[in-house]
Amino acid sequence: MFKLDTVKAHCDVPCGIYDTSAAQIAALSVIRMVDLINAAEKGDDEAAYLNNMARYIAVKEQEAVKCKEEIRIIWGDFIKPNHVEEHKDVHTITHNIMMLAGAAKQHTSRDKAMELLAEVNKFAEIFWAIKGVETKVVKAPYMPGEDVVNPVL
Amino acid sequence: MIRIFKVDGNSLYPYLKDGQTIICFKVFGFSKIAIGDFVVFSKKPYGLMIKRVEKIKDGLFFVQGTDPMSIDSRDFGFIQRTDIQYKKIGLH
Repeated sequence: MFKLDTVKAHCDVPCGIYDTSAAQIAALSVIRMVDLINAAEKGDDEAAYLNNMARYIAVKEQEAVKCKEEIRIIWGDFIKPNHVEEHKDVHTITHNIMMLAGAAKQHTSRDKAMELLAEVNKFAEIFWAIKGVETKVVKAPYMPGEDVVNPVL
Repeated sequence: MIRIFKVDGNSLYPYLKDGQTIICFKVFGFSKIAIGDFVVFSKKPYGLMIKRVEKIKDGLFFVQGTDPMSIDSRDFGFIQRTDIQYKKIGLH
């Protein structure tokens, strides 16, 4: 008379924690390093100048790679075909991020670094829209104080 | 049309427990679906799932489990009304 079927009420392990904030912080860090590189003055202590410059460049490299890595994981593990149907530009945005993060390693252009942050913010908007979470644009409360897309929690 | 399902998993605990049997109504075009309803829907690649409706926006349904680790709309986004096949009978 009645058919007995199973309905799944499962949980994911690990718990599927994805967040774009790490990529946004990495993009902000790239901008900050570009600012520090461009503002650095040689002065009398060349060793100190070179030491600082080497550190800024190393961090810029590291943060650009981190930005790519964070986005790549969300894109590869979280974004599903139905999300792509709803957000058709997500592949292009992801590719732009890969390219711009590469450019950020090669150059010291603030404009290029800002383009990277803008694309990461676009990615964050899509990510939170998929999660059904509203977003707002806020100024990062630390240098370089640029706009970031944050979830309204 | 009425159907009985067995719940597999604890993502809706304490409302629904693993192994519990529930009675559901078939959902038709005229059926009312409200926030708080437990709905049975089909979602690839997971199959037939049950979750609670948390939000309704522009005719789309945001379904969630009570467990923070639940696989639900936080992972796959809003579902369509046409995805919903059954609704649990009874108090929530």
